[in-house]
Amino acid sequence: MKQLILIAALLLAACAGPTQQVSAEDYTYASTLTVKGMSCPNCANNITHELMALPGVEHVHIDMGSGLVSVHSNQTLPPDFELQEAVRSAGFTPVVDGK
Amino acid sequence: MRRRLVLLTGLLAASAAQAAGAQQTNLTPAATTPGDGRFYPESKLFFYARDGADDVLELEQRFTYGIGGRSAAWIDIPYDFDEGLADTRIGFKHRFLQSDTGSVDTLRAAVFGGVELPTGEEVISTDSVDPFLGATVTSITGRFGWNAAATVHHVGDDAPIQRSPLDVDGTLFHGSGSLAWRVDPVEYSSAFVAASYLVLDANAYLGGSGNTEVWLAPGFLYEAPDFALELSFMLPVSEDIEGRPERDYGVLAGLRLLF
Repeated sequence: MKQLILIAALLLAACAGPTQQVSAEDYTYASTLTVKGMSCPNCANNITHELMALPGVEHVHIDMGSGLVSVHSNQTLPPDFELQEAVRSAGFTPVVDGK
Repeated sequence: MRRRLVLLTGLLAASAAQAAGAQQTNLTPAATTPGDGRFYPESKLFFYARDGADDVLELEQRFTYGIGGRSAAWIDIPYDFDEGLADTRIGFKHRFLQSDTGSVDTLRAAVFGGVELPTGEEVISTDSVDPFLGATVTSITGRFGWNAAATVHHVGDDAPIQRSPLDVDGTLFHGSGSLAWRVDPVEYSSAFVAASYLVLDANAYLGGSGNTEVWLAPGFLYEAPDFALELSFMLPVSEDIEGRPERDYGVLAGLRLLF
């Protein structure tokens, strides 16, 4: 039983993490993509992680209802094709040229 | 008996297919993978009450690593709290079909395979390198989802018949299907939120020294952006097994983390 309590405590501790409130208005540059197939919160997290790994990207906001993914920065953002490739690496489909 | 089980399995798979649209549910393989370079540990704690034998408490630890957005490699390390380490499984999954038709809606299919290595304690090891090969389909439409998966396992001749249907000799077919319904939120919005699901998993094991089992597992899944909690109550629908105690029921509590 002690083992179980220890495991449960470790798992709960692993879940806890700091949260950061940042607004899109805090940034100079913005770019928006439409993404398909974001069916779950984990999916959106994968996309955020891939986009944040690109040079210059400082903030990502995802609207799972509309599929809009907004990327923000105070530096020049990567070109659209790099943003789209990052979405594909996360396992999802960016809308390119309306398709 | 066998025909009834096959029929039941078929009906479960068919009912899953009719319901449209699930995430990776608690007890069914899904055609999902972590993003490229993402690390995804999953801990599943199983409790089984057995007929005329000691209960079983097992922790199954899986580590999955995403490769290229469409593939993943994983290792499973099961640990029995009474017997010690069980056999380790390593596997690889590749998604060969992905049709994303809406902001949420998707249809995906993947193949997977791997081996179970005889790394466990002698009393619970199959004592052989046991391959497995399978395929899975995942569909999500709005708040509803379904998964269907089929796996063929081959276990070496000297395997002891121990705790689970995957420990028996010979070739074993494992069919599974699941339904998921997103309870909350009803509609996703611009607020980045967690989601809660009611899930129903069905698992059928056919073959392998004549052992057959069918289980239903209603459960709950809570998914936040970087972790998920799962809880399922496992009920045997049919058990026709020899050489080991039947299991009266089981409980699963699990945690998934996304790094």
